Amino acid sequence: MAGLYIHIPFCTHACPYCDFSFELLRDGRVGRLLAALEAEAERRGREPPWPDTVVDTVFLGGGTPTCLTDRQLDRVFRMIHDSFRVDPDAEITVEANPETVRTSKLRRLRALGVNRLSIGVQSFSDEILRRLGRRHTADQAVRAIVLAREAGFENVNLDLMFGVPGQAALDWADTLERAVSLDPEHVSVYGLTVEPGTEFDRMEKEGLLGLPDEARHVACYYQALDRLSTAGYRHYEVSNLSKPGFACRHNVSSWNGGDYLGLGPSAHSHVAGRRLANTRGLADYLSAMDARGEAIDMDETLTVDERIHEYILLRLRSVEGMDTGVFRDRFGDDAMGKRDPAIHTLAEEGLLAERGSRICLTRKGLALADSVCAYLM
Amino acid sequence: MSTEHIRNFSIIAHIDHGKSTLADRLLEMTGTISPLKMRAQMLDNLDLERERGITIKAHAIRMSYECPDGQAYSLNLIDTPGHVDFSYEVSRSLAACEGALLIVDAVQGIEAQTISNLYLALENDLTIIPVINKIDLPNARVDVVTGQIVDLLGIEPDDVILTSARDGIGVEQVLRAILDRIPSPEPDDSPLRALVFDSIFDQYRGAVPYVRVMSGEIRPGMDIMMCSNGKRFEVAETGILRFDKAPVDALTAGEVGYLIGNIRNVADASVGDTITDASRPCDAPLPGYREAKSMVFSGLYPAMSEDYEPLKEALEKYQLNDAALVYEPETSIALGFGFRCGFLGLLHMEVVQERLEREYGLTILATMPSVEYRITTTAGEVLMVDNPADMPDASLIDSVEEPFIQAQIVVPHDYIGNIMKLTRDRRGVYKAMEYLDPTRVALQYELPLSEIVFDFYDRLKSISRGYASFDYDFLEYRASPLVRLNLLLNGDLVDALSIIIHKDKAYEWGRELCQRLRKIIPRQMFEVAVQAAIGGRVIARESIRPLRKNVTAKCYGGDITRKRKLLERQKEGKRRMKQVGNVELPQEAFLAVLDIRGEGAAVGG
Repeated sequence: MAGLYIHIPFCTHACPYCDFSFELLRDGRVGRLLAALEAEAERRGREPPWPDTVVDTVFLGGGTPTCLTDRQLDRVFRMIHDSFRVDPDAEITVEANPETVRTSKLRRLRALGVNRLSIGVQSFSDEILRRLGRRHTADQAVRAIVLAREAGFENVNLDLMFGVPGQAALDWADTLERAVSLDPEHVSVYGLTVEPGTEFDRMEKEGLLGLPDEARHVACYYQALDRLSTAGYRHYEVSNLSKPGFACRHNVSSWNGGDYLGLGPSAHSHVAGRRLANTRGLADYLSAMDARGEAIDMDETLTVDERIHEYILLRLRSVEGMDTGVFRDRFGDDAMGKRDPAIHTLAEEGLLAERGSRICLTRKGLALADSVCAYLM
Repeated sequence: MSTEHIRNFSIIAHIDHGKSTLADRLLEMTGTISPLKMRAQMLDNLDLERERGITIKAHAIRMSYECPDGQAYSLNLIDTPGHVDFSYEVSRSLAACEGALLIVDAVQGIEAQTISNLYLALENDLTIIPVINKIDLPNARVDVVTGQIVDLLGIEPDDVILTSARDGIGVEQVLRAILDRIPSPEPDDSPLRALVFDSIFDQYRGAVPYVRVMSGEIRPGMDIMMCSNGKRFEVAETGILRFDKAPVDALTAGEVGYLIGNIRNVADASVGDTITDASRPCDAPLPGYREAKSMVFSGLYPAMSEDYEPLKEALEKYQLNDAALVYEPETSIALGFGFRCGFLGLLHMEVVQERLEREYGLTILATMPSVEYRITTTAGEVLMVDNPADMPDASLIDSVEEPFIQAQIVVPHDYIGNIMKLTRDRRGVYKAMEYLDPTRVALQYELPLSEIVFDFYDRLKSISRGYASFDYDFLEYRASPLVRLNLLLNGDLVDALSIIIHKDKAYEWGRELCQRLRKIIPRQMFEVAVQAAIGGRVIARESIRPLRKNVTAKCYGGDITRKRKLLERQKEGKRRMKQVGNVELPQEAFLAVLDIRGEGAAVGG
């Protein structure tokens, strides 16, 4: 079993905080991308282990996959099925932005087998959406969810964002209430991170951004965890909560060290301890595909230490934590033993909890996940 | 050559008064080296010496000069280190001479160092030739400076030579005065006595002492003996010092040169020692020898712990050329493995650190300089402690004594008030004041050495707009109310930040140190309490708020590599820090202590 990720880099406009690989949607570009994706899928699909692997999760991310036309989406799915063996019960997710969602497109996606829709709502406050540079309104977000339900989506995720400049405690509380009232199966709550090179980064450096302070940021995070838990959502990863049985299988599998193949610009793959990535920009991706039929620009086989580091960071980000017994089996007693004092310190400081053979981040530790993981590396 | 035509002389001058330039002119004029071939200021041949404009090691060079009347002379110029840290070395270089040029800048006038070195020269019965240099400068004060010199030396104004070494003015007169006024060495064929005034280390030939032969002669094949330790060596080569070593058949009384004798250890060729003939030893060694004494101590640690071995090798190699550096391994809880080093003084310490970093490519963390305290315990035991971490608990101490120095400060009288305030802040005891001329005074103070090892010289310069000059000599040990001040992070002792300090200054120091560390230590996952304590009593406290948030929201799109590398970089950043208990302490913390500049917040630790 394995995952398949396809990166559709197009957006109708640039969001000032986003540092994912994206391109503005223009005529002609989509066609060239799809042709390249088809070539890449065909080539990879013939290489081991893919001919003998059943794909049980598919994820169309971006960018904004839903800004493709119906016919373009058809092509993507034809390509998937032509090159890979997709499990009939596979989880198939597509990311969507509210302003790109129409009933006809949602129906088309359902018809193509898509059973999970991840909607980039971010906020139910028009003021906050404006600050985030989003093109949709709160009403459009609500309508997108209603339409998704009408089209038959029974597994819907909402992306919500906190720590946004100008976001008052009440704004965030209101956004959480409205999210809960819409009853999605899954919610991702992201603290705004100012990434280097983004418009927000420039504004921050010029002192124009006005981010909420750390205490406020963390309070919003806990507020979300509390409100959503009360509403029956289970917190399963730093930023992710779902109703029982609705954790995102695609992501969970990749965090558990499962194999996945990524197609398209900037897409990453993982096959049996080997990590690969395609070149980031669309133009570079297209020319690499033209020239050599592939676009890999990173290919690393992890050293033992790197595997340990990866394991720690992935396991600790999951709320169930890391099983020290499994760690010991995989990496040996020494690797575990030399981390015992650090684990002890972190536990004493209330950042890690020891539950039987498992260690996991406490509530306080979740907000410091990066520091804690680095401390244990 | 008969001694009649030999002149051995030295140059005494304050920094920047033109010593090197005048020496260069003499070298040119005697044809010792052509101006074209000469790197500016030939005598300062260490990069560091050039940069700082000071001489750290003694140098010697022989010039041959043929007088217009046809008589040939040998002139040995023995240059002296230009800093108070090396006053013993200076005194030995002067002891190798019969005369000295006293160079005084026509604008600056006499400085503290000039006076100290002049006294050393007079103690050694040297003939002084006073020279006022830089007379071409528009603000030259030839009359005033002449007056200073006349008063100081009790000579006639006519004896003073006026020069501009840069333009070559008056240099010939200087040369003439060297021949006419400085006595030639006395011939003496009693058993060999040769004074070691410097030594260098040659990786193929071992330690090479530079000597002045006072009596007898020294030639290859002879067995010689070091008077200080009785060690014997066979002389393989004798020679004179040009720009290179030039072998000669023998060195006889009155001559200056070098000898090579398979001396493996520089400590066996130490400055001030007397070399004699092993088969016909002298009755008594030359007076004035003493072992190099460390005055200032500091721990040197590699910034990266894996550089311990390279640091050890660097110290070993360095010591071959500088027997005055002493070191032994020490361990610090905060800094790991390193070395406790003893230095002649502050400049010596700086020079050693800088050269170790520069010439051996190391990054070094130095702990705060300390002096050596004499501690008498309640059990009546006497301990010498140069590392605050070694100071016993207060309950076990009967008394603590610290080294005091006799300081000489020369300054324009406008700044007397500032100097008095500074010295009072540094626990100085005023002794005397003397006017050198109507506008300049020489002040005498007794000061604890610990109060000047730290930021004294810079302060002195800044409160006098650079005009004050300063020199000192060790005086004696005196009892003082000193305490050990510890720095704690979350209750754990940072031994490398402990100091021994006067009890009246402990509070201010503790407060300042805590405040600084609060700014330097990055926020961590837990609160960090920064405390300064004397024994069990906390006298200052700051706290560093814990980090509340450090989490990357998204970890998908499959890019786990980027995430891992981000955390590995965080981890790497921490590896450069020093771990104290559960607190990560950046290296800057150890450096920040070195520039605590609160008025009056001087330390002894």
